Amino acid sequence: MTPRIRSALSWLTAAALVVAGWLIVQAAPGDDVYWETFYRNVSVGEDAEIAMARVSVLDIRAAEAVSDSSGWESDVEGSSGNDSVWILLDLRVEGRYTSPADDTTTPEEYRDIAYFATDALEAGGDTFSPSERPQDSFGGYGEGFALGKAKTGTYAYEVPASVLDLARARVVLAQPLQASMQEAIAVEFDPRALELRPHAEVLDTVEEPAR
Amino acid sequence: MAEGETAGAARTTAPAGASGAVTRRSARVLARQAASRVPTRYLTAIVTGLFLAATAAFGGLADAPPEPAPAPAKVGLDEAYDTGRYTVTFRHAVIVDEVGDVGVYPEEGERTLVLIADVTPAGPDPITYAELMTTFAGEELPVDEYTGDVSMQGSRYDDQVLSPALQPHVTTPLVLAWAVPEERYAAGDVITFTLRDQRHQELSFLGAGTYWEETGETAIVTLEIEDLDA
Repeated sequence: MTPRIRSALSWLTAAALVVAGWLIVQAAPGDDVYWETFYRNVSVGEDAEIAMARVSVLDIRAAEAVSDSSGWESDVEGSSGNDSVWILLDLRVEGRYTSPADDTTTPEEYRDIAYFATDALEAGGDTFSPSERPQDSFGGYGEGFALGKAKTGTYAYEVPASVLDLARARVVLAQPLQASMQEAIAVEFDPRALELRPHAEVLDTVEEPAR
Repeated sequence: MAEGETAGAARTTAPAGASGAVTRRSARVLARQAASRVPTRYLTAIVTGLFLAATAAFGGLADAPPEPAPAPAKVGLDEAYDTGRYTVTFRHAVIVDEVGDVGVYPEEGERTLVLIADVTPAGPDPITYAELMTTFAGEELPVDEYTGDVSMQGSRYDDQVLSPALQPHVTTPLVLAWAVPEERYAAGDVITFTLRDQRHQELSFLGAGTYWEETGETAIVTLEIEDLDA
């Protein structure tokens, strides 16, 4: 092997190594993979389970105006807030969260309760939080799901009417506010397929022992 | 003599090959010799000097003149204003002795000042009532003694829900109210305060996410007050 061939060989080897390195970088997943959320997709009539809760999707409804059994009504005559529409997500949620045994700071009445800090409707690039306007719904602050109990109720989302023209929307339920590296329930649906009723009622929140 | 010269040339260009290789090798040697004459000790200083000389074209090391602050927009009753985060239209500014369902309980010698406004967030995320308050400023507005933020009592005009969250592209009719000394305002007086513009930004270095940043631009809102009990 002449020195010239040897030198050419080492250059070629170096170039091949650089190319191989580039290929590996291309093939490897990006940084985003560390922050991914593990979604459990679920639609109407199905159940989904994550570590802290079991969720059954009873129904997804759309209405121009909603009310609840307390007498609250979304649309009041003369109000400038009447042009919105509502998407109602009826759920049965079974709490499955057990507080850590060494947790001595949480008072007894707040132990073993699952919370969804993430409970937003995502549609068309916008995020909507569940409305706290119905007097009795899952959208109230700090709605919790106790271990061994099942709650039936509604997440009510007040959205612009344009949301009903979208092909895709979803509600994401997860324990932490940022569900990265965590599991989350994703209720995905087609808003165009929802029948827009003039009026709908928010389900009363009912708690019963889990089956 | 001639033989000695040939030997010297052979030493610098060895191993002697074709005549083309010899001239190429000599050029390389020349270049190396030239490079070794550049005073590397002063290279940093020379480059810095060149850079500074270049900055002279843009005003040298003198402070850049401050950008003139944009003149604040002026907003009155029934005029929609877009802060970047939401669009707001103030419908009324009234002073009343007492008003129910807004969470304000004026004491002896106080009355209630009420602003009625339609607020429509631009998206992409909902605005909590506390976030909305951070976009207001002004000496005439009430301030929370702990957080230092403006803290008007807020509720919906239609169903009186307190401190409501505001959803993207959905108009929320708001009642903003607080107690003021009864001598402070009379019918026909004006109240003036500031709205701060914001823009939506993405985190790029320290993780993923978005946040709202003040643009530095503001709007001055001036509203004439009606007296409902006069």
